[in-house]
Amino acid sequence: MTRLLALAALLFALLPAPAAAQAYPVDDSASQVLDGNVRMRWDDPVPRPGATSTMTGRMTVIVRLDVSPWLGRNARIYKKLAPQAQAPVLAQWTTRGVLQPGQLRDGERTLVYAGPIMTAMLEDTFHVTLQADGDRLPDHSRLEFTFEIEPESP
Amino acid sequence: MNRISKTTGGLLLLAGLLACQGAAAYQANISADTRALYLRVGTGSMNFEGFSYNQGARPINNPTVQTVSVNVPAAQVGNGTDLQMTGNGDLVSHLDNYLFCNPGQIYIGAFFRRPTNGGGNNTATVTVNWPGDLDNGAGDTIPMSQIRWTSSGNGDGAFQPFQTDSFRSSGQPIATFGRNQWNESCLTFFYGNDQVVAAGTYSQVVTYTLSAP
Repeated sequence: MTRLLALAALLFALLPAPAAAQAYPVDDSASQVLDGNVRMRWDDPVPRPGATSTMTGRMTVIVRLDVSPWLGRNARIYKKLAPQAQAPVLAQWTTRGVLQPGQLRDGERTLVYAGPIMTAMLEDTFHVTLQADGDRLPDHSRLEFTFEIEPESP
Repeated sequence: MNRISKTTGGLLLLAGLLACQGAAAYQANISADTRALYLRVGTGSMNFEGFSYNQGARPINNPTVQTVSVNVPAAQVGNGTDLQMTGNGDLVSHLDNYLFCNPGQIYIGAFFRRPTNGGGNNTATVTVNWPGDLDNGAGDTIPMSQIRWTSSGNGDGAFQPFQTDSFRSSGQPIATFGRNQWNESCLTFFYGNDQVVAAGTYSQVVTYTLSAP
């Protein structure tokens, strides 16, 4: 009986896991950051009892995603923000409608597109608001945004 | 077996190529806001008179020197009984215009803004300096140590960022606090009245200095 259970456990372990969609990086090298040096400002000029001292900055990005390899396929596209070592960062953005507005924290990804890829290039303008904990934000740091695509199986 | 291994290797290589295809990232360089210092002793000024930080006003420089004084009746000179002194100046907190101090007290408030950890030194200090003893201009003096103060604030608990103390030695710290903290207290001054001195008006100027890393 014990042997039978062990065999069953082994068989179960060998069963393939449900297939997760594979993600591929999207070429966004044509994207253009209009004001890439973002000066963060204290949200509140004075520190308040019990309140976090946050800073906020803004930038505009013309996002151009080369999705030609997936033309004609359904896909989901995610925006990612690389983890920040010292101060967590929250990015929020609005768009003109080609891609979805949203928000994400560093180290996370969030959906910006879901549907058929009908053109070789997806282009939109992101008005990005960045917010960070001013207590922990270094004098200078760099944020790196990327996009990845999960095409549906043909 | 070798054939299978080769096929697997080929698939892995293809996946690697796909992963590298056109990979890019848009970047933003962010820089933290500047440091800021705020120190108010007595009356302060806001750029919109009568309005607080909460109402959108911002502090501006105010060179006013407040006065703290006491009249000692001739019959009581040097009897060792402390006499409460009376200060002048604005009594409300500029954070929210709350009436933080009572008449006769001196308001003192300070903070420093600093975005990063600053190499471990994140403590600001308020010190007091004075050039000498109280004097009457005729060669008679009273030690500054004859003046002490207590600290409080309407609506506050026992802890005060500017603690009860006395003028012990010029340059002494009277408060230390961390970055990005709001600090305020109301000081009530007392004259010790421990020595018999010649009649006259004894005065001295005390300068409060906020130093931050």
